Amino acid sequence: MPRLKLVAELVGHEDRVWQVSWDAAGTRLASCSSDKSARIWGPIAQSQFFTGEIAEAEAAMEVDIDTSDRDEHRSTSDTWQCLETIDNAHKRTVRSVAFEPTQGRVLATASFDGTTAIWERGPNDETYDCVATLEGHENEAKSVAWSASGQLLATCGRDKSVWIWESNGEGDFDCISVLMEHTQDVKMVLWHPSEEVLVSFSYDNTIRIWRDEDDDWYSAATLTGHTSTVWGGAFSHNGKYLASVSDDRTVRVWTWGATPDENSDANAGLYYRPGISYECVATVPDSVHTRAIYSVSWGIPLKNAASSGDSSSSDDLGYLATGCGDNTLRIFKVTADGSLDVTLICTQENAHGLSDINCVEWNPMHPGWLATCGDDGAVRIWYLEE
Amino acid sequence: MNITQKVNTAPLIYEVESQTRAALKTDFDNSVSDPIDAKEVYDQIRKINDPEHPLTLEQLRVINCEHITVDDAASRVVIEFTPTIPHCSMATLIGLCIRVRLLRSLPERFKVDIRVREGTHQSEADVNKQLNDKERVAAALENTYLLDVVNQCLATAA
Repeated sequence: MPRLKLVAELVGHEDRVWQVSWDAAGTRLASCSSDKSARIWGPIAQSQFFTGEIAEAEAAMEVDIDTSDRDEHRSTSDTWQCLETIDNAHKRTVRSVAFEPTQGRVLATASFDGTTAIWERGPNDETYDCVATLEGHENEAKSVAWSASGQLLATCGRDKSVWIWESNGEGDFDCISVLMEHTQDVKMVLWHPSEEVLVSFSYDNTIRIWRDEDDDWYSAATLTGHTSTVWGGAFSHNGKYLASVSDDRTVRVWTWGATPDENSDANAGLYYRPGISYECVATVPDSVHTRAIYSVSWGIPLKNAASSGDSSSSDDLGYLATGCGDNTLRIFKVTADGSLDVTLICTQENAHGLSDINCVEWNPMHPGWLATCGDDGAVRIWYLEE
Repeated sequence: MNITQKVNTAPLIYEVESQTRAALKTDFDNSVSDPIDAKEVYDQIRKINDPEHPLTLEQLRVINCEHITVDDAASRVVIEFTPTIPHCSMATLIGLCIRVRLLRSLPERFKVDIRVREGTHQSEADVNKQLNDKERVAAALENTYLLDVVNQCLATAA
């Protein structure tokens, strides 16, 4: 059975860490915290770190799972460093952080102070300067996400709205849409990995899919089934499936019917908006997680990285990781052989001591590498070993 | 009449029994582990002031020791409280005061669930959902006005 190895612990935040986010190259990790700062971390050996022998990384940092209350004497692993701290990035908690996906020099942060800030790193240093502040949410902004092209940015918040911003370069952003259909806080926004399709997750127990028709964004589907707050979600690598996690302690996996054909409905009227049919194809029952699930990440199959040239099966959809309020980090294997199967293969109790795990994020380039963060103020790097 | 009308102008006030716990011999023996129990949690919150009246939650029987469940081994606390009237708009504030008091007094390992007692509030599900949403609680505690109100209610608790 696969098992998780704790490879590094990144210490520095002075309060709960809400989210971690890898850059597109998978060599930098951003984190954000209630301490009002964002931090950027990286392995000292850069990308070689992930491809080198796991044993070496392990030898350099032997970390015990700490089940005591917060330990003041922990320190960052020898193999990782904090590249930059953006102190006082915001006036209140920094709730969300996301690297721009095409270049890795730009970072967005969303805060309880209601604003979203855009930060840019100079070409030769690690200093991030604020190049734009996006205002509009009435109160707490809760999530920020870039589309795959980096052209669009989505934010959401306590005011029940989802905002879509267009980047015109040079830190210039225009708000192109404000979507108000959710009836309660919107907890997270997520873009499809290749298409310009946006997903939002809400305290109103629903998930909404947003599409655009001639730059006019509309709600194309509402996914119902969760019985409490939906905290977040993740797309499968191929973009065909969406996993969602909730305060109802279930994980659900959804798939779509055929994408609406642009032409077949040409005569359906000026204001016709093609909807999406959706279906929940798998549920991890509420007996597996024992408290609210705050985060899910969908990683690519490990086989893709194998040097043996073993061609990975199209049935193998990789791994789901979940971060839960019961202090446990769980890994599920997902396969689609006829039906979609989600199988628990690894359980790491007390992954952040006795604290909630707020976010899990697979490295996008190096399969098996996982970052997590929690209420203990720490960020941890794990490796899933088969 | 006051400018700010009270939600419940004449709540029932209950006699408070002496709550002093007799010391046990083992209390002074450092080798004996002393698990946290419902009584200890009750002691932490019973003197919280009601947001409307110069009375404690204990005097109004908003909280009762019997409605507190503690599992020390599992680090779990469940508190059910009883608003004085079913349309009490102060219910979320009372719940927040209880949560903050326990955040400040219980070891960090404890997971605390706070709910209104079943059938005692007309918006029971909404109140419960809000009180147990860690993100909403975190945001509320960054609101200096709200934090002042909470701190006033907690001034009598220690």
